[in-house]
Amino acid sequence: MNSVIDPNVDVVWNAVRTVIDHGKPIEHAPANDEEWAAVRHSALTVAEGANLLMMPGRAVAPPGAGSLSPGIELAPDQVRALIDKNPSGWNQFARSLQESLLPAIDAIDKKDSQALFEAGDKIDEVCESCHQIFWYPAPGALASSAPAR
Amino acid sequence: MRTHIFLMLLVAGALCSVQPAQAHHAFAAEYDVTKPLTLNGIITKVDWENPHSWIYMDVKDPKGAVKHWTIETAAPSQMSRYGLKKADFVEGMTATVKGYQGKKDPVLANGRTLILKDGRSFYIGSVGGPNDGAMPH
Repeated sequence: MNSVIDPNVDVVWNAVRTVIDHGKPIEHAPANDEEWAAVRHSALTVAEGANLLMMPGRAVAPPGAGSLSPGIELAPDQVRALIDKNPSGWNQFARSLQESLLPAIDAIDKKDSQALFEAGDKIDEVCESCHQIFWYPAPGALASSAPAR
Repeated sequence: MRTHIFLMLLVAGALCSVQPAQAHHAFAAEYDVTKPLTLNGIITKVDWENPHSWIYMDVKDPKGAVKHWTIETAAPSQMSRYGLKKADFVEGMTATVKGYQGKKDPVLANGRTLILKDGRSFYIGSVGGPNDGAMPH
């Protein structure tokens, strides 16, 4: 997640944005074929990365990695346990991630920066929805579903 | 030599500039729900971007010193659904932000409500925030 999906989805999200500096809007969007190709590369990498997420038993983080926020965000082994407990739910989120990239890729192919910007919102919805179940579930859900450490 | 000094300062400035943390973390990992705050100040800059936007605000502390606050908000589309548009941000605008203070950075906040000088109020809270009544029904 940290090495493949996160850095590449950031490229997709940050490709189109507006910086409003002291009231003056400065629009940012891919400006040439090379820049559009770079965003497309990242969008496809995220979509293909979702296939890696669906590999049975695949480690969710490098060995030795822990929670970045203990007690709030689960440790990798806890995430793995939740995935093993609900693999169909996990895979559904992975497929939803792939599907959320399709409008973005379509927008990129059309060089439609507004459509790409709007597609970013749907991608985030999928990310957040999955995170709230498999990464930082509500405290009650955490107590009932997380394995003993 | 002058060019070298300029480049060194440029690099140092880039390394030292405050960059908001990426937003892919639980709300409670970055913000303290026991530290609600109200910021009154001048909005100097807005990054209207996915997956979350950022408002930069100059706020005077009780001693009159200006602090440069960074405020995380929801995604642009969500804020637009609640009526806020990027065109609402004009030069020198004063505003009030209600939200929660960052756990590690004392001038980082998560915004829940933005109130403009003309009295319009917008929900700007990101997903996963506390159920504090800020979100309109």
